[in-house]
Amino acid sequence: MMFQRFLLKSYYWIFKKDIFSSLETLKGHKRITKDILGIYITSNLNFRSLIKSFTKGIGEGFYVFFYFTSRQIPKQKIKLIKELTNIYGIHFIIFSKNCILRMFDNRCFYMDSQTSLKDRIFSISSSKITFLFPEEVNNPAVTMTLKMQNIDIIFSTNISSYFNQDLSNNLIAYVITDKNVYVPDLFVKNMVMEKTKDMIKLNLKYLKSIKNNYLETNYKDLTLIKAKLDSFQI
Amino acid sequence: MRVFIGNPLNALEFIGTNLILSTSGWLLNNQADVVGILNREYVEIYVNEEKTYLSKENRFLNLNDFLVAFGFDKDILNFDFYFMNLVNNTDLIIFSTYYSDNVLKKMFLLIQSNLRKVNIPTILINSTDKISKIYYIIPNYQNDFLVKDSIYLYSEFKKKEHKFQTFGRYILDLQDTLCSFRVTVRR
Repeated sequence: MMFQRFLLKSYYWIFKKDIFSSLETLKGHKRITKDILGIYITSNLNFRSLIKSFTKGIGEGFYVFFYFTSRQIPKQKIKLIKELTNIYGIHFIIFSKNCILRMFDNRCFYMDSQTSLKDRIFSISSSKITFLFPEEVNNPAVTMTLKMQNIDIIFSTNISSYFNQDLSNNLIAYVITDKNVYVPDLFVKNMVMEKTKDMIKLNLKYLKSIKNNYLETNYKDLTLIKAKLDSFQI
Repeated sequence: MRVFIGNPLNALEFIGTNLILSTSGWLLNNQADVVGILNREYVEIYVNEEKTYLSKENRFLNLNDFLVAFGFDKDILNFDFYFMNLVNNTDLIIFSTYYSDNVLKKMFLLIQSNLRKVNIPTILINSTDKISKIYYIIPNYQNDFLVKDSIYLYSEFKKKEHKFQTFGRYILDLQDTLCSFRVTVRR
């Protein structure tokens, strides 16, 4: 039974050397400032290359990792990756077939289009991050919900660049897909965002100052929306 | 519904106007069913010499069953405003803004993005250095204008067909979030 519950143990002897040498190099690593959120894109789910990219990413101050695949990942592999992620104490986001996985703190959160929008949010240094599935990106009610939740970063699985750019403008938020990062048209793209093949750096300080200065909540409008929605309740 | 926006003297050329909005700080009473003067934070409205104000607290003008909503500077970026118009079936949005030309260019991209989600005809009157320019925006992916940089606008608007939007099951998520808006703490 023990063998089944704790998978890493069975692989321990194979990867012991890699893990320990990686942890050794990470001693006293730097952390990038709170104003910038770094996302590291891993290209492979292979155990050894994962350890490599974690080491490289954390060494440069990243603590959000991202992987995209259109295939399904076997359950056992997910469990193993979860255990490895926990050693490093990072957030690991995986786009898989029809679902999104987020691993952090010994837990693996599974999301599909049935998961309510409330349960998808997580936050890193006071920025709120959420996930959207293809059919949700162009839905006004979804956009309004995210607006109320004050979201800063959205991981989108929609492939339409028009829809993603619109969403980014609607919410004044960054929208990240597997290929691209969408920045609100209000900003100069190169100033707030830095993207290379395997990493994305987003400036959150600038985003927040724009949001605080230009966005205001009009309670009269919200009351009107609420009244209207309550009136066509099923 | 015939609407004129611009200098009230130009409005004399048109007959049978339902709504006249003046951009020049004065107007002739009883020139139309409803007349109004646009300002930065509010609109002065006269109906048969009775004066009322429309502002952020009180945006709607209902004229012969045609619903007009007024928006001001900061409403442009606010998706709440557009969504509120969507659920209230607004027929026309009128923005009165005071942006510089540089900012305005970026604002149009944002307005277009927001309008594509709600699909409501929109007029924007931007005043800089005492000159008001009028823009009539159509929501499409080419970021087009029907009227651009104009000093006055006269147009007839038809009431929109009301489509009942259900938004799918996400309406429950939204209702859930809206329940708590009074207690959210601002960062």
